[in-house]
Amino acid sequence: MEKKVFDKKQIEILARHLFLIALLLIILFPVLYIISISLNPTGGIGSPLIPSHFSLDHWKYILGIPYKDSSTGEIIVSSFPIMRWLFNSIKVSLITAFLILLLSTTSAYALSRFSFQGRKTSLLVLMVTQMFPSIMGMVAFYLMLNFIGDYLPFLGTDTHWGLILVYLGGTPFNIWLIKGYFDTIPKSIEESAIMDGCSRFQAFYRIVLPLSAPILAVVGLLAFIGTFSDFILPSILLKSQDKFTLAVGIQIFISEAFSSRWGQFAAACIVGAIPISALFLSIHKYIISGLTSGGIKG
Amino acid sequence: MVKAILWSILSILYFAGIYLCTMFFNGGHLLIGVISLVVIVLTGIIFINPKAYPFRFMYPGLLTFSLFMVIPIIFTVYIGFTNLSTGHFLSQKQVYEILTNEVYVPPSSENTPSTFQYTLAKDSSTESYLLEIEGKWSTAFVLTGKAQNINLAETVANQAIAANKTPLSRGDIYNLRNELALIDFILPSGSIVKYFRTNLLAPLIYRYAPMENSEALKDLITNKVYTPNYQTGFYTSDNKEHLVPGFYVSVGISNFKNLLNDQGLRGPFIQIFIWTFLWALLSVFTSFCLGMLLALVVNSKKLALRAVYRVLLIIPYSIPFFISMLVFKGMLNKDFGIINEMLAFAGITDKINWLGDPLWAKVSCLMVNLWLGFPYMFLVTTGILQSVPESVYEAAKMDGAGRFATFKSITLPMIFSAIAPFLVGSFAFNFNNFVGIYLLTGGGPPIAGATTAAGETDILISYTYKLAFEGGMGQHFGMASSIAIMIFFIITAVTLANFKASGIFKEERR
Repeated sequence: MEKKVFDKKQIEILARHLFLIALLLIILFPVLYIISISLNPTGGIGSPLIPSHFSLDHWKYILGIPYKDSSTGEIIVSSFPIMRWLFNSIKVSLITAFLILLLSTTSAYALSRFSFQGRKTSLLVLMVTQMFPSIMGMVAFYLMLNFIGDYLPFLGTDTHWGLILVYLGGTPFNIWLIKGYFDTIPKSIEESAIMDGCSRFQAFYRIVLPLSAPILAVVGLLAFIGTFSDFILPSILLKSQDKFTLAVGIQIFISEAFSSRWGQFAAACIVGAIPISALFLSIHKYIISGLTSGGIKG
Repeated sequence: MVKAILWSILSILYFAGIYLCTMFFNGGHLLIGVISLVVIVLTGIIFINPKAYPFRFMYPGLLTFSLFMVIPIIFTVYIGFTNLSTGHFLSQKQVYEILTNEVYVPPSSENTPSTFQYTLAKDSSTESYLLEIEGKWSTAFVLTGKAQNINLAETVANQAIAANKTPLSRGDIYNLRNELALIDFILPSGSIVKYFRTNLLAPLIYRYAPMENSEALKDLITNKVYTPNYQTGFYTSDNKEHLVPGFYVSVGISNFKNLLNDQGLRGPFIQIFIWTFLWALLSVFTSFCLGMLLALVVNSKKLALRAVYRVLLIIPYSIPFFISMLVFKGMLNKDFGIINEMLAFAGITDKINWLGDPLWAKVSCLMVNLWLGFPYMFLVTTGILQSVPESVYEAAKMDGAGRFATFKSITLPMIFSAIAPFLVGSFAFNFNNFVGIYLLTGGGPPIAGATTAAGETDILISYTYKLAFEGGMGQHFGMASSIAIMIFFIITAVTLANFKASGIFKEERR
């Protein structure tokens, strides 16, 4: 009797394993496929799943290293600045993440610690507006940056700073997240510091900020990932090839010639996906708890 | 130290802001000037008045939020009620200026030819230009960038161009055209010629003359009178001829009316509208089902490698969406894609047109979005399952509940009671999931009979994008914005309903 129950449970666990493994094979197939393509010297869009031999030609192509084409023997250097696009993406995302942190921590602090007129209204407005994706205002953004560019050329369309400026409208959600965390830090710590002669601002950046390092890291990383992955705003605002972010550049790169650039595209995808994927997986536990305060990207 | 740096950065920004504000007023942008003035005054008050101390913390974040969230929304609403589009990009003032600066060459008569050939050379030692017209008259002058009158004299032999100066090429002259156009060249006969082409000067006459006491313009060639029409955004004559370019005007609700009444717009718009809802609902439903199923399967204490499964299952979600979408676009390619090849290997040799057939394209979008979206639901459901205290299950076991009964009356109600906000959030996200459609199918295949770039898989936001920024059929900023307004209302309704249901408003009032 005892033994039979044990068997039944073992079978159930085994079934769970089998189910998960089968499903994972399907789910992870595109990932494995793209890795295989990036190492396949022919690398056409219809290449076999497991290459007959491996080469790093596609990787050299996207890294801008000259290599000899295996079939024609000519020396090939990429005419697309793919690494530049990656660099642009990282640059824009880093600056955006930093500025968003700067702007939203101070606002969150005020909302968490001070009582002033308009506090409740501010909170409500922030909560409602954080639901709107900025892309609904895409026409307005485009026209606004066009206008600003007439006066301040470094902030106009086709500039990275202009793009960053538009991203700074997305602070409400972050303010909301950080405020929630500040609320959990006891006020008494700052109050005693202020009694000891600390100014309000010093109490903020010497005491509260270090204590909130975890949430600041999560918000910063989320802003970084979100900016890096954005397609629509850079595609509207950026015009010249050497200013593209990876999302825009890679889309144009592959859409122009789907079948002949598949191998190089695969390598570029991996280069773009690995840092973001790694960052995301490293913070996914925090995201589960953060998720309870609203949708992040899904 | 930190304080000093902050204050100096602030003051620099502040003075830059004041300078910018004066520039706006000088440029004639009254409204924008006033807005920036308000911002500047407000900033001053907040950083000088000690009573406004809390706002010093609030202000920077609130300012960028207002400038790049609130103002764009208001601006979008405004554009939605105009006809801003290809052919109507300029204000009436700008169009008036363009028209009144339009010139024409009067027809030639016997003693006055209409155009004059000329050569231009540069004397690099004195930075002056040498001009010779038809070998007869010549002069030397300096480009000042301002309007000026230059008299020409009869050429003395070997004086001007002939003196070993190479004439400028037409390309060089083209680069100087704006400065040259400012100059009136006065011929010895007293007639005035102006820059016309890179090789021709001509006695140019302004074609459209302003009429006294009205905004109308008179065409001096045909003698027709054109008055600005504020319904259509054109300068129009009595017999309904209009001048290009047009200008933008407020058109009231006619963008909305056109979307619902116009033959070529109405059908596609309604189709896109329905598909947007269907797409968002089905995306949420499928990814929730798969995500929940997986969460239930993985969430067993006895399952080894649970943490590994979890990480592997959320890999699709961790990859930037734009990358996954483009990879799938290649894999679903009808002729070369790996998916059709694998189907052929399995015996299905009919190539499925995954992205080009109206129905299959929709199926592809949903399948790919399931791949992208289920890990989110998996994460959320896992979080909910983990929040159920162990003691609840133990109590159920004590009471003699079987595993199925426990699942049915504890686990499922637990999930459903907590999942609602996430489903709504996910619905709102997918409703505007531009990347999920645009990078896979580009909204295509096109809807037959549509007069705009509407596609079978287009959702409202991708349709908006295509109307505004894909120039093939002109750029319709006005109509794009009016669709954005509709999206705005739908999202607001969904959001408010969600907040009300989840009681967030009450919580905040507490």
